Amino acid sequence: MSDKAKNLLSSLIFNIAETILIFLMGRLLSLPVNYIIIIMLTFMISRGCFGKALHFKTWYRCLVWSLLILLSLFVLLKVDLVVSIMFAIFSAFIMTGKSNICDMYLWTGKVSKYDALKNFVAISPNHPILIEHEEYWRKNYPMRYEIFQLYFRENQTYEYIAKLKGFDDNTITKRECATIYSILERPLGLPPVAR
Amino acid sequence: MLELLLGQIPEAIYFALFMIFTKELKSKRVLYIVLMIAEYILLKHFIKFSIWFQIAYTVVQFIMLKILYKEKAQITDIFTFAIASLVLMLSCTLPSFIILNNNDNYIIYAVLTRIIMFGFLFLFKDKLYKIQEVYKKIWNRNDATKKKIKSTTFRCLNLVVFNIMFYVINLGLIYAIYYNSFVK
Repeated sequence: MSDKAKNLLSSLIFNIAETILIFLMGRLLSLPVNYIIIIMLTFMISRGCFGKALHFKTWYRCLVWSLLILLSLFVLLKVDLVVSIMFAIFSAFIMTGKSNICDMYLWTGKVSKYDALKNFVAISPNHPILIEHEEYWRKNYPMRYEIFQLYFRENQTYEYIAKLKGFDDNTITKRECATIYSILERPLGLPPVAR
Repeated sequence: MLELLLGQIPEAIYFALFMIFTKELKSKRVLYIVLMIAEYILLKHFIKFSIWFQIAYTVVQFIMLKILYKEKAQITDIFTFAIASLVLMLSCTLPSFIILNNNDNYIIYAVLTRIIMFGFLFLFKDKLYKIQEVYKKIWNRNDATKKKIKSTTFRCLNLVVFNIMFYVINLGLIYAIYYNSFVK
């Protein structure tokens, strides 16, 4: 049997065992079988629908936390089925990459051509290349450093920065943002800016 | 009227201030507080003594935060709000064991819980922003940096506490209804 098949088999066995354990836990709380199945399916299907599910690197952590999350949802079943379904959907959403902080910035519907860098900063705020450049700008280009902080780290708008810094318009900020992106584009492997 | 002045309005102000200090909100503060009070009173009026009130309040306060502060509001604010609710629950529960068991004076109880609630805000107002810092630092997965707790574990922990909290709130509401209808 190949390694891939072995992995697939062990993963299948683990998932079946985990599902049975979760089900038994629900039964232990004297919950009706159909309610347990509804909550389990809601959580699993929603997680699949939201996409980019987060996974643990070790099987025992996965088991423990899955049991705990489903236990908390089963406890809510004691309150109300609808409440528990709603919380199952919410829990599923939280356990995906869709609930990452940077994704929520897109609420305004405004898309910036520098989003790739904004997202990079949100996901890896302490990346050594970022820290190194920030340190250099802080010493040699204070304005660039401040604009980087405000626009890329704090996700502020051009208008806010202009008001804060007392600029007449957004020219300086836009120029600095373009420079920052062009400097970091290659070292961070960012896509070229859409013209 | 007494319930409104001693109960609902201070609680709404507490929630608003907790979010303001935690998120370090600098603008539209008064508007935010006023809207939180209005929302709290309206929801209390339409959804009385039910778990749905807490759910609706959590959802509506997040929507309001989104509308007022747009990209500054994040999904993690729901959990920040849950922390505020936990603190409120504790500050209401602990005095209830002492005062309501020995003495039925609701006013003393209400005043004491409000003192604890706002005392907490006053003591920790300069430290509450750290909650936001923790979420910012840990929430997103980033294997490149070493963190005390992994992002996935952190999210699971938040979820478990969040879900259980609503169950506890429900128990609290049942107890409150029981207390109001039988003990008094």
